[in-house]
Amino acid sequence: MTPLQGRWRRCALALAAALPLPASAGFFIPRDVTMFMFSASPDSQMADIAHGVRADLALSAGQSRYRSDDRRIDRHYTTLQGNWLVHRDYGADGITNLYLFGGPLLARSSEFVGAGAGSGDDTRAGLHGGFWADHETRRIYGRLSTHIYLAGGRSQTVTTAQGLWAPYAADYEDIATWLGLQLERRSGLTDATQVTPLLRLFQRRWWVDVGVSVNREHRGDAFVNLMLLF
Amino acid sequence: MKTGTYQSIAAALLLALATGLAQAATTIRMQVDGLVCAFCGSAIEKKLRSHAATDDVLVSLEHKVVALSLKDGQDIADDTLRSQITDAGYQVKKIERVSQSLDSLRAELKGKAHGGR
Repeated sequence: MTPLQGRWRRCALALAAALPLPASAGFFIPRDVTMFMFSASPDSQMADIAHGVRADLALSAGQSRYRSDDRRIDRHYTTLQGNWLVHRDYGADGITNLYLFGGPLLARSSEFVGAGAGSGDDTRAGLHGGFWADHETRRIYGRLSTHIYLAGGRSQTVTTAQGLWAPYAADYEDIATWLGLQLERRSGLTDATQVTPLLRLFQRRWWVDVGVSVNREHRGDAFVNLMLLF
Repeated sequence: MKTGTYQSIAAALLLALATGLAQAATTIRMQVDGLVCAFCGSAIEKKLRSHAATDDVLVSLEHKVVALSLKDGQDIADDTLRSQITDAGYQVKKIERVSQSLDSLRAELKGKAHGGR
């Protein structure tokens, strides 16, 4: 099997194993709307289902998995999460949002075996949370978010910055096309920074991001992010 | 000759009926702040379509307009509309009822979008 086949096989296996998974961020979900989100790359997979319970609050549940750079350590998180829209600014041509999110988690990893109470157990309870800020017009999108996981005396942080540009201002009936760059810094489990050009397509109730990392450490790592609204 | 007269009268009645229906049809047109993304805005369509009085819904990101046509003889209170748009995450700036059909409004907005830039 070639490395590429192996990578695709792992992605497919992760996809199959990921259902149902949780949300990693405070993406806005309107009241009475349900969103399913799934993302996968060779060293992380995440799935989440969220429901808007108020105009400014959504609750979600999901699961995520991160793998260390040397591929020796996996961490699986099962999370419950509240997404709170703290502030939304309505400008003339766009909106700016600030979200806080967080909740309890269960972390499972071989690192926990032999450490502290319940030393034969590989699962620890913990907390996770963070913030998400974004600004969006019909042609420009920018986002900065941080997600921190704390469990079993270990912490992990995922910080993401995105900048995207739309070559045309899509209207409601159109398929929107966005091009941009994502920088993602992970610490606590890996010390990797992934630089990923990405393509975003969405229309009404579906959303797809695809990208391939271009930095040397993760060159060739592909990721896909899917979202569906119900 | 007599048959022709009846046909003319019937045609006139049908025309009058159709005109009356067209005038009775109400379209609610709303100016909404924050509409930049179809994915996020689709919640507005879902909420408005869930109302029993709604016949059809139009969303224009270009013009920040959300409009809906009502079923015959039915209406939705402004407060309900404001609440549904707010729940979807947006702000209503203006609500007006117009006699223009939703199809006509759709054509007008598309014309502005294509010719106005």
